[in-house]
Amino acid sequence: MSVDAYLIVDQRSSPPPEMPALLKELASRYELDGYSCRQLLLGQTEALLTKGPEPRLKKIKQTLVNYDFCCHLITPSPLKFAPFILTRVEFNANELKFFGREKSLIVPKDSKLLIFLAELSGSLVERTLSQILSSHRYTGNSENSGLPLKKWQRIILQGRPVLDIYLLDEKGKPAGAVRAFPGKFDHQSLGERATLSTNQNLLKLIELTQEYAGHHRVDMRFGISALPGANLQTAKADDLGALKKNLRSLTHYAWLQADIDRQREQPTPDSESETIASAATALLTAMQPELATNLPLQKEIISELTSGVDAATATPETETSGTNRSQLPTPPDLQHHSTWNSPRTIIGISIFVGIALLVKFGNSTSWLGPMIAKSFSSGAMSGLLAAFFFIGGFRRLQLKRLIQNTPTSKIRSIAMGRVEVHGNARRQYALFSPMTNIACIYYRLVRYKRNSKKDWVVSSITSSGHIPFWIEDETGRVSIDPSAATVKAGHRQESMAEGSTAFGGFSSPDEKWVEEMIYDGALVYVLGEAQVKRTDRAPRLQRRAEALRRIKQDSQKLSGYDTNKDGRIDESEWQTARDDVDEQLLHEDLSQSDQQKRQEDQVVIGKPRHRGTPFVIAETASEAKLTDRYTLATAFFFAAAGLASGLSLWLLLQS
Amino acid sequence: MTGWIVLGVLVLIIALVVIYTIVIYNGFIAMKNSIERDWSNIDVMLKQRYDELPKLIKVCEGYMQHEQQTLEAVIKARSAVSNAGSGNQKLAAQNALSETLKSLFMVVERYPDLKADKGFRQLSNRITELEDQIADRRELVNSAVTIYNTRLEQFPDVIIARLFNFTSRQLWKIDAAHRQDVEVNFSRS
Repeated sequence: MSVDAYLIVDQRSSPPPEMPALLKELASRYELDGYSCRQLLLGQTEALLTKGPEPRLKKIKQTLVNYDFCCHLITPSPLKFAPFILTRVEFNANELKFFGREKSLIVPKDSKLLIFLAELSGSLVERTLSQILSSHRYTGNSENSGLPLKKWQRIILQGRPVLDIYLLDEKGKPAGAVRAFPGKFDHQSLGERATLSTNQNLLKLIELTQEYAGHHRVDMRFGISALPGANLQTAKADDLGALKKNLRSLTHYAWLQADIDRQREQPTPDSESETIASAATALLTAMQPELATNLPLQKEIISELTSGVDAATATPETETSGTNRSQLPTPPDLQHHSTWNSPRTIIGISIFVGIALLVKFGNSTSWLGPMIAKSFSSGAMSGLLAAFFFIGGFRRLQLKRLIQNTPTSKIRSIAMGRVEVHGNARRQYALFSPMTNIACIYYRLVRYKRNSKKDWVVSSITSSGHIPFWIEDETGRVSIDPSAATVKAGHRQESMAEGSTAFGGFSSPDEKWVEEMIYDGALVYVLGEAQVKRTDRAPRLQRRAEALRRIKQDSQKLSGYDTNKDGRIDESEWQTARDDVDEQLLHEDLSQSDQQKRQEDQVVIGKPRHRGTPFVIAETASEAKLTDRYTLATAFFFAAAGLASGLSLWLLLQS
Repeated sequence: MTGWIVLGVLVLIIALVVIYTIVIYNGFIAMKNSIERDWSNIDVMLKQRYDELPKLIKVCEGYMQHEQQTLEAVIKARSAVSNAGSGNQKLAAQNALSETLKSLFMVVERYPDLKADKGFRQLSNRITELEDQIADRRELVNSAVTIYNTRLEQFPDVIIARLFNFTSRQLWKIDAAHRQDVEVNFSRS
């Protein structure tokens, strides 16, 4: 089986003047999505532009080179090993030795090395980059100076750092690797370099390694480069699964970097000259959805890595096919929601009005004052609040149970009616989040302004809640119309975006925005109603009647059915005509079925026709995680309801 | 005062229990109907397959003059489906039909002209597609039944289930014959 080649581009920090022509050429000649290409071509790291057969990629490469883009055509090497965990080091004048529990790695003087300092939790990278992203719009911000190396190093050390050192052979292929975690190796073995700080010891280890390297490169871009299989996902401290995934992504990233370095025509830049990206485009994949497969434990990773590579590369493959399949159409006009009718606003307004009335008329002698005061003191208000929380709690409980009780359908065979599907979301339109410019299938942007009392007030809400997208599993894909759905986005970004006038007029510290989004490629759960898509194709019965009418009107055809030549079409002769029409229609349907075999052309999952039936779209790795969220919400609502009921009862008894 | 407090708490607890019972009861009803619907949806696919068969046989007849036995077996199995009475009989008939279809497709390998026929290709693709969908929907029924049966045994659902006589459902099971190892003989006779 042939392995797909990768076309990796060195991104440019600003778009060249001939960028539109390049994008047009990429779209027309190679059917690459212009929007995605633009994002992948801009930045300061590397990005996988596309993958596929080598001859095709060579042509694309030539086109890019014509436009002064530097690119690398590589055939990714299979991962043969993963780094072992460092326990101690030994060194003498000629060599540096790394020891693990069972393995060791000897680095002779003047060796070729690749050193990776990476942050595993992903959250720090995400948070820092969100600031950069704020000032980097789709139009390309060439003024971004990027983060200096030292600052980036500091950011990494603030999180969960890890150090990977790869020894390269003469051909530049990895010959051995070691992985160091701060505090997990014998720092005394560093000799005089040892310090009391675990993080400093990690830096000292880098220094020591650099002394033994003839040619080396320190790479800190894991998480911000857009390379396949090298995604850094946000992982909580206790989420060992996610951390292990990030470790495997790091291994994959390191092997890819070795491949890229081999392909570089010019020597790699020295570590001191590097700066870290103004990385809006790079973040595209840095925060892409997690891989669907579970990762093996670190100790078992070596034996399973080779097979795991397929899984790791599977995601980028589908990503590429998803975004670059063809030129995606421009999305329909945006939806602007009025701000007053969102549930949160209504609750907020109700509470505000209640308190304002109490303050204003609480001590008033008019009839309104005592009535309001009485409603609070008698416990009626807290009783209402309790009822509200009870209803909210039960609604969530009901939804949770509905989600649990509905089996997940395979997309290939979904039946009409209520269905539950789970798979990767893909864009139908070239949709990008308006503030962070990330390819997404859904976003919701809320803008806030400070009022005269310096409180934040919603000034506008914009969402892509009416723009359809695909959801695909291993059997096929189906269209989702998210109109009127309850959408639970997995990512949320908030920024003041001070002074960035490129963001449509945000130039004041009195303005901020909150953006929620579901990335293109994210794992999404959908509970909705499958319906037949409205098509222009007439129903079969109608087409049959039409065809028979045409035969009746065509005397030549009609005489063809007059087998006994009596000048009349009797019942049996007409039956023959009917059979012929049926057969013809069947062939039409079958050829249509070949062309429209996939669900995408026939079915759409959308809002249920019956009121009150839920329609949920949620970014989640699994159904269980989603129901856990509903369990928590239910518990919160019931606890709040219990407290409010207790208060109400107490007030009632007091009065 | 204590009496009022106790009464209030009791009313609250009773209200909670009643609403929770309603949620569970409605859940059971929805699941039960969903299983029925899923079964019916399989029937829809089976009906589609049933309707496509005469066309397939018609196409095959032109090429397979010497395979009348196989074609007759398919026709017979199809008739058996329409004559089957009870659920179990229907299931057996559908399985038999699937088997004869498999045999038919195997025999077709000997007829390159038939395999190359556009109409046959379309029909066989369509039937294979339907077979895949039927298999998926059977899986779905089994998933739905498993969830339902699990709920029946879980606390507190078990109380409601017993109170309202909800009983467990049967999973779709494959014929015992299909579970046996396939005999493979590589020796030429």
